[in-house]
Amino acid sequence: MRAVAQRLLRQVVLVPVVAIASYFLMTALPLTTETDAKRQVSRELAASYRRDLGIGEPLGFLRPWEKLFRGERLGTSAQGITGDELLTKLSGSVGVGLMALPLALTWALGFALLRTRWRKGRWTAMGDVVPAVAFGTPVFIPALLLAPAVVERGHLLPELCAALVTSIWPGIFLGTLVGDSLEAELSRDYVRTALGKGLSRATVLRRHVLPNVWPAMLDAVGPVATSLLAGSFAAERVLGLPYFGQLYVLAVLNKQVAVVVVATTTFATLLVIVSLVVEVLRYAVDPRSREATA
Amino acid sequence: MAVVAASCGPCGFQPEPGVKVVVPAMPTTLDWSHSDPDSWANYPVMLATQRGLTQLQPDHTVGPGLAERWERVTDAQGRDVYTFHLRQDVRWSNGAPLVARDFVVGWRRALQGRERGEMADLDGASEVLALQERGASEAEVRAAMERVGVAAVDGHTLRVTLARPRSYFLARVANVYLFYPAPSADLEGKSDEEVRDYFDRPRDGRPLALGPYRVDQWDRAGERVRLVYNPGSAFPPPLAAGEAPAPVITLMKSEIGPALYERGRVEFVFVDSAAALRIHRPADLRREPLLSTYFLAFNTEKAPLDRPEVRRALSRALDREALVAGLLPEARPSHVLLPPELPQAASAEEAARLPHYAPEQARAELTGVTGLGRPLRLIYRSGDGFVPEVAIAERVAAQLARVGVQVVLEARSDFSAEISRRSAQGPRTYDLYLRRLGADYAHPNTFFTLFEREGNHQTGWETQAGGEPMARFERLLEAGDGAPDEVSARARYVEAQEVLVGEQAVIAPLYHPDRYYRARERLRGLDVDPFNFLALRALRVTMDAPRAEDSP
Amino acid sequence: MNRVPLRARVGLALLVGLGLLSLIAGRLFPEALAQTCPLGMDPTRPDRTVCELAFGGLWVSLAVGLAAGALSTLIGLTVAAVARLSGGAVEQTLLRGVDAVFALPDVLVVMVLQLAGQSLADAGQGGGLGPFGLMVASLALVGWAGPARMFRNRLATLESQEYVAASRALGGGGLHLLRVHLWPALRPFALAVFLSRLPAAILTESTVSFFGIARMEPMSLGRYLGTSYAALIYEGGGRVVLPAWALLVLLVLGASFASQALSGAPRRAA
Repeated sequence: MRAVAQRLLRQVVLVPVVAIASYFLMTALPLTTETDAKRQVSRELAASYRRDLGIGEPLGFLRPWEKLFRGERLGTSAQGITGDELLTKLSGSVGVGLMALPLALTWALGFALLRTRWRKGRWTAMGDVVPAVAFGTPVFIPALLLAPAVVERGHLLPELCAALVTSIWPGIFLGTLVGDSLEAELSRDYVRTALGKGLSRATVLRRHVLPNVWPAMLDAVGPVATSLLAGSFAAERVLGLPYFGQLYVLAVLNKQVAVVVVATTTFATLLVIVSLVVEVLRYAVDPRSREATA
Repeated sequence: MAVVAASCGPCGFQPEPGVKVVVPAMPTTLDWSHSDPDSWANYPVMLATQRGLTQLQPDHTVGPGLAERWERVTDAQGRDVYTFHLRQDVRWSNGAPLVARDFVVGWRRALQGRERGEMADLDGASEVLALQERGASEAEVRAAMERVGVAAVDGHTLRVTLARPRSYFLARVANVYLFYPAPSADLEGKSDEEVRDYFDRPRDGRPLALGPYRVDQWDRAGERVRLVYNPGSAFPPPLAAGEAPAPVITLMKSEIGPALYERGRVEFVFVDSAAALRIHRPADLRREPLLSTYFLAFNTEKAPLDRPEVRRALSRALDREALVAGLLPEARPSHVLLPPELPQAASAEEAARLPHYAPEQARAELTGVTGLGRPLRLIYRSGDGFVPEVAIAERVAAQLARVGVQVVLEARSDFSAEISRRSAQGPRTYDLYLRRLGADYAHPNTFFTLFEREGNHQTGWETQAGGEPMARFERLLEAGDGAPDEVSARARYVEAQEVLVGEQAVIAPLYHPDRYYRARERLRGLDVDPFNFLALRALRVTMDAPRAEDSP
Repeated sequence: MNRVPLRARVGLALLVGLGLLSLIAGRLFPEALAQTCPLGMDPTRPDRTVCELAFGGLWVSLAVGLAAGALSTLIGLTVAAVARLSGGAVEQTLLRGVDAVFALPDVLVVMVLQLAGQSLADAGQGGGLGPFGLMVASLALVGWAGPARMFRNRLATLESQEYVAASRALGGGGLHLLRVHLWPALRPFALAVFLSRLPAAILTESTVSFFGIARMEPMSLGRYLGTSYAALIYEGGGRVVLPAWALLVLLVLGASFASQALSGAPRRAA
């Protein structure tokens, strides 16, 4: 148990690391105050920098969080956000992510199974071409192809499409990993024994092989969640979804640095939560992990 | 899990009911007094929700707006004094009456806002601006503010004093939203930050509106602004039989606006993308020629552009016809600042005196000019706008290369900040920039204010020849603004243009842009005016025509 | 180099061939490329053909990807080596740092770094880093964590090999081991990791351009795709976007062929 706790702790440490790193990166940025522009002065933006980031104050890096928890706004009145808004936006993105995750797992399993089949026939090359096409396709391209059909239609259509387009590449990526471990497992003796005893291929796969493949899949969930999030930026923009990815991109474009600090940390937190869940799942499904930590 | 549950109130993101209008940019602020340098993006909302003292008639003359009548006198010190009598029946959207104090509060805030230079005509305003420039204390600025020429004589009488006669003033207060009143009863007693939130974070029926629509919601991440009908407005849209006001209007931004219009999911879309206009020209495309000029500006403080003859030669090197050829369905190339449709613009003979395409002369003038060895940095606004900026910038670079001038292009999303940015040595860092100037009202003054000493031209031309040309330019404008008749006013404005574009060649005008858009038949009164403002204030929908929307 | 697998050779040939063709066509014979372009003019830059912009920009993207990939591989290798050499608490701390960087999406970090770099450059503190340099630097700064993890793990595996243990028993120091025994075994793997960073870098560049944050000059394939995506929703706009997309897929295919073959995927070992 101690080892598990240690692993969890290591993950959690990430959050303050990202929070502090992004804070100091942002405060190190020079403020362009345009003091000499006569008619239009962006004093406001500069003032919001200082106010929100607590620059020059001891423990200034806690300032954005302090403001957020007090329900105050970060950034300028026109472009900044409050904690409530952050939470609603986040919930939308998390919803899309939760739809995307099972989709990605489906792609992964499907692709892995297909690839083991292809490897035997004339389709071997497909095992390389499909991942290349999936990886070589920036998320905004399938999103744009789907967008005209779904934007402004409601009924979760844009959300589903966002989940669909963001899940393809991570799914295929996961599929290649799972495929590798699937193949390794399929070539093992116990499979041959089971087949020899007259069990059907599907049963062998379901009862013997897949349980051994789960750990490999769980290992990859972290990176997959990362790329799901990265994909959601572009998908939300194209599909007109007012969620967290959109909020983040606009914060960067409008130089709302305090929002960038908070949102970056929120991202890291989300990913940490995912890996915590993975650890727990691993503990539940993989006996080897229990043994290792016992 | 709670987070997930919260996301499923009405499950997922639902499309808005009501009229959907795709706009090219979200407002940068809803605080009309404080404003923002990118104020153009805010106009559609401000014009739909607010009103000015006056109102422009279809023929560009001035008619009554919030003020039903006014008197104008010149006082002993030569100042222009207006007394406006406000309409008694105008109410804010919460039912509170409009009072003269609302103007005092709004205009004082505008004097401290981001476009405060626009208020410089008010008596005493220059003092307030100078104090802020010097970084004077809040108390000093407030004291000076008390002396500014805007005062509430009684609840419904407003007295405005201008430092000097300004013939354009009445036209200006109609359209420039900085002059709109602010709901003083709501604002007084709030801190600066609270006031900014009051405007920028709409909720509970705030901010109050006077116009036919009121801002209900602004979703920043979703890039949408929802306007709802304001039934108590004294300015309802003109309804004919079978027409009704739109209960909800959503202004939204979308990467795929034209595609949504094609599929009947939005009712209005600007066709701004050069790509859209070149690939496929729809049958219901409408064109509005704008009172506007797209120009190339020179940084007059940086060698070799600090010499007027070099700037003139560069202006002569530009073939305006070729710059815009084939980019748009129609184009009006030009080498003058004041569009010919503008009252009091220059005649053809007068325009011919200004620098125009003369390649041989340009090449001759530029040979042997020192300092042209280094490449010049040309800044333009990044993004796909209705001005085909990328194409024009690339063509400018190509044309200048033909006279031996190297140009490097830089598209910037922070355009306004970039052109005002100064190097450690003093002068601004850009060499050339491309920009569109649009009229706010039909008067030459609106084209010149940008280039005044206080203006946001960022060319540094106030330093040229010790400031003499700038002083002359301002005297000419002064004379034009205060001229007793149109003919002499026009002569002064033409001379001012000659100083700016000819003699000093601070800018090289390139063309007068147009705006293209598509709108559904069932929408009435929704269009774009020559000032490039999306006009929502007269919007209504026809009741009988079925909606051409494919239901999901 | 006879042992280089066929797939790796195909992949490398694809990369080098495309890159050279693009460089020659885009830099040396731009007119020829413009005149023979079957795809017509670009809608936003009507004076340039789609071929010039997409194919002519391919080598720029490739250069960005190679530079960023090389830099991030180098950083990753250094970090991994330092971690293994020092061991103990230092290694654990380093690994936590690596995890932190690795956990964040590329696009997000590149956006923040671009914002930071542009602000610095605007304030005249850019350190002479042009938009190209800034893009390479920010891509390298996000991309090193993956390689660092892979190198560290590979090093740990290699160190457990018998010959390494033998050398250590004979008194070989950490640096000696690394240079003489580990590096030769690590080299093909390093090349594979480097090649695997290439498509990631190009794709990230393209996505960041899509958000309008990057300022890459000259026009690269990634940025071209990221800025002309709008054409896709117009009738006939596919001719602008699809070829650029196809080129990108080809690059990825080349890189992943070479990378996988070089790293000796586990399935082949089995």
